[in-house]
This record gives sequence, C-alpha cells and structure tokens, in this order.
Amino acid sequence: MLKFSYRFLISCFILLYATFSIADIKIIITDGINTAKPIAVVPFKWVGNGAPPQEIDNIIASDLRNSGKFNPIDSRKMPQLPDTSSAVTPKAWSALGIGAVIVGNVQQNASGKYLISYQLVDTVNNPGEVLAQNQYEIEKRWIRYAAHTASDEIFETLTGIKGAFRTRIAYVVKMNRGSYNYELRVSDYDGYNQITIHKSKEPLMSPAWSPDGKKLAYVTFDSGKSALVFKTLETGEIEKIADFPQHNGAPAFSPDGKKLAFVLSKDGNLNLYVMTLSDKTIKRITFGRSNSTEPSWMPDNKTIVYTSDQTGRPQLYSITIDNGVPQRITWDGVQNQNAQVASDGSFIVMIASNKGEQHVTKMDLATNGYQKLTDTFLDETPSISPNGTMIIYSSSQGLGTILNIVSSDGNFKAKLPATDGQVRFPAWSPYL
Amino acid sequence: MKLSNIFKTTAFILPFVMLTACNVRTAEKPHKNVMHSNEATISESEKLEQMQEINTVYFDFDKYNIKSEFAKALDSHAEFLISHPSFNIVIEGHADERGTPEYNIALGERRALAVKSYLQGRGVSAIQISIKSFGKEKPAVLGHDETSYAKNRRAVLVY
Repeated sequence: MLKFSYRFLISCFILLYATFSIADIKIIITDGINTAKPIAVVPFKWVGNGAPPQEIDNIIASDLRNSGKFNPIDSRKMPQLPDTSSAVTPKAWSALGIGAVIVGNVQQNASGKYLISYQLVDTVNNPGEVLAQNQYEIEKRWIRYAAHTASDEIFETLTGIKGAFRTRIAYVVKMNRGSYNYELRVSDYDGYNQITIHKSKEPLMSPAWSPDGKKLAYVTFDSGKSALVFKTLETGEIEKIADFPQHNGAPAFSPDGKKLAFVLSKDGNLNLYVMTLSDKTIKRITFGRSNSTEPSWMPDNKTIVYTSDQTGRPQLYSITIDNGVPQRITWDGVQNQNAQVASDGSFIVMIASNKGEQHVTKMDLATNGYQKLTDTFLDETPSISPNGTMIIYSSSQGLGTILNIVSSDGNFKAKLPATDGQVRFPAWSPYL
Repeated sequence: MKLSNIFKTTAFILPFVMLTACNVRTAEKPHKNVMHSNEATISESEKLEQMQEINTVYFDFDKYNIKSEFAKALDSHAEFLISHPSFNIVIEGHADERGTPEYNIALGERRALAVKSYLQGRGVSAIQISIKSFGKEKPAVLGHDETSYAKNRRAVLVY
C-alpha cells in the first residue's frame, strides 16, 4: 500500500497557505507524438453510484503522453473496451500496432474509500501476459496521486526507466495584477494541485529543491535587497541563509543534501561559495575579479559546474570544492551558461547563445557533443527531471514568459501556458 | 567644519578630489539618511526633486562605461551628495532580457558599480553610496527589440 504521509503533510500545508483562486497550468503538447509508441489505456470501469470521481485512465494516458515515449490512442479507435486482462484480445490490439494495453477499474467501498486496480497487458511478445498490476485503496483526494503511481509503475515496466510522475515543480509567477506581484508556487509536475509558497512585492528568483523534497531555497528581495532563504514546505517555516551586501543568489543543494552552493557579490563581483548545512559554515570557492555564478553539482558532491566570464563572455567551467582550479568545459558558441547537471552525471543542459538566439542545449559529457533541443524564444533556467528524461525551462512568448518541456532527446516538446501571469524559474523536484 | 564643503568648491579638480575622497572615507562616520527629518529645507527638497528627474543612466549593449551624455547629470548628483553628506543613495543596476537571470545580476552590478565609481571620482563619499542589482528582473519596458533593450540597460539613482 502507498505511503501518503508526506502528501498528507503537504495537504495540511495547502489548507493553511493555499490561495484557491489561482489558475492551474496545463500541458499542451506541440511536437513529438509521431516518434512515440502507440499504447492503449482503456477507460477504467467505474463500479459505484453517480459519476466516477476522476477519469483515472485519462490521468495515466496523459502521464504516458507527457513522457514523450508513448502515444495513447483515442478510446473511440479501440477495438474493444475490456476492464480485466482476461478480457483483452491481444491480436485485436497488435493488429493496430499496439504492443501494450492498460485496463482497470475503480470501485467505492462501504467506508467511502476508493479501490483502484490496473493491469498492464502485453499484446505482442507474450500475448496476454500481465506485465504489471497493482491496486490502491485510498481517499478521494489521493486519486490523482494513485493514478500517477500506476503511471510510474507502467512506465518503468515498459522502459526500464524510473517514472517521475509523482514529482512536483516549483516556479515563480509574476502576476498581471494585484499588489503582490511575485509568487513562488509549487504544483504537481503536470500543473495540478498548485499552491502558493511565498508572495512578495519584489522579485523572487531561482528556487532550488533540497534532495529530500522538503525544502526550497530561493532568492527574495523582500527587504529591498536580495537574500537567500530556505522554506520548509510542511511547516511554512522560513529561514534566512545568506543576507550579505549586494547579491545573494543561485542556490543549489549538493545531491547528498549536505551542502548548499550559492553566489555572493559582497566583494564586488559574483563568486561561488559553499555552505556546510550542518554547521552553516561558509567556504569561498572561486576568487578573482570575474563573475562566477549558476552552480550545479556533479553526482560526486565535490565538483561544481558553473558560469564564469573570466575570458569575457560567459562560458561553463567546473571546479572541485576542495581548493580546485577552474577547468573550462565549453569552447563552442558565443556564450554558454546556466548549466544543470543530470542526476547521473551523463549530460548537462545549458543555455547556449549563438547568432542572437538562446536555446536549451544539451552537452553529452562522455562525447562533449552539443545538441540544440529547442526552437523557442529566449530560453532560460532549464531544470532536469530526476530520471533525466525531461527538461523544463521558461521562454518568452509575446510579451510574457511561459514554461516549456522538452525531452532530453529533443523529440518531444510541450508548453505549459499560465492564465494569470508570467511564469519563470521552473525547478523540477527530486523523486518524492 | 565639513570636508564636503571644501569638495564642493574643488570638485572639478579631479586628482585632488580623488586624494581627499580616501581621507573622507576613513574620517567620516556613517550618516543616517535624514530625508524625512526637519533638517531638509525647502530648497533641499526642491533640489532633491530635480535630482530624481535625472536619476537614470543608460548603457550600450554589453557595455558598462558612463556615456558622456550622462556626465552632466551625474555631476549634478555628485555635487548634491557632496553638499548634502547626510543623504544616501542606492544605485540599482539593470540588464536587458537577453542572457540568464542569475548571470544578468552581474551585468546590473557592473553598471551600478560604474556609476558608483564615477560619483566617487567626483568626490562623493563611498559611505553615501550602496549598490544593488536586479539583473533582468525589473525591466523598465517590455519588448524584444533594441529600443526596449536600450531602455532596460540602465542604472537608477534612488535617494
């Protein structure tokens, strides 16, 4: 059975702090369906009175579609509508090129709880074999979470990659109206269950998740100047971490959660610092009169990839935190900045500027090969999903800014337009 | 007794000013901003209004030097600050929307520092000046063209 304690605490937090009028962000897919594998999520059978609480099959189908790897077919094109694996006729599906079918049902029991069951059925390799199945007994408010759990299990069974459908995103919204212009919000990865974490009349910047998913570090200008704070999501408790003269910014937790890399400009230019979180001691990492910023950690918890303008235009460098010497990483293009290291250290994504365009670009760390992933305008602040398959970033559209998602192979593209403001600084949570 | 009165009469003699500016930084205690106290006379507040009308300096793309067209306005600010040592300013530096938010903080800081250096070069005490950068977070105008960008690459003197 699922452990919902974390989500329960989050929901307590929602009740305390949420603004219920804020508009959700929804994913609109713009490219990549052609390269995705066809799959079928058959409408789940509803056993109960009245209308079903949620369309579970829609949530699972959306997750699989949003992964960029699957293209769930329309239910009107399905040859049959089975609700158990034994009712699936494999040949009817394989004839349509569909290699896997998901069936399931939802029941409401006497205590008012919902019982959700699903089965993933192979229709090609071992026709009729159940590849994965599970059932969850849950209260109504956990239905989306249970559906995302099924999606994670199905996705991992079919691809061998851990699913990231129970993750969340943090982002900053600059409101079109109202006296508090800036809001830091958190929602499910697909834009549902949006809550506001921090409101300010001054800019908010650069949210970063702690590896346990319990805290966000970010930059506020609440006092009129920048400061770095931690917010604990469960309690709403806020803690000031750095409030030095001039800039305090660009926070990044080490993967083991023991250190925070960040940037100060108290000595006149931006330099990297690392705080050991257990005793709050601060160590300076970069020196000199150029600017060093936008740190991102390698999986070794020792090496930081960052932006430096020591040769003029910003380029990416790496440095170890034990008195290391900066090593230049990027040599191609006019400027490369804002690196994010994938959790397995196999690639980085960055913002590369060439010929007046700036795009999310991937650099394979084994081959040093570059791949431009996007064709949107003025891309910034990429953040990688914990399983490395997706990148969320912001770009300009009209006079506003929106969130976008691109798969790390560049095939799948989607945008997440908001209705009530400009959205920037997306940060993908770790596995929760 | 205030050294700043001496500055006022000699502000145009740059080498001398730079020499004594160092003395001032060590000799004078930090001033509190007394904008709202009764010390401010009518003429001071009128003068302050004038200062606030010429409070923005614009920069070229990727450049941080003070263009000659803004020298006169900054000289007026220097003169005002030297003759009113109880006033402090914050210089806010800004960048256009190209680039990334955290790196653009550096661009805003460089612009704010350029204005600070200019004012110090004219004899203003460092104690009266603090800087901060908003990078690209607070554009003056929205737009993706050079006209908009030029209005956003700026430093603003806030009293």
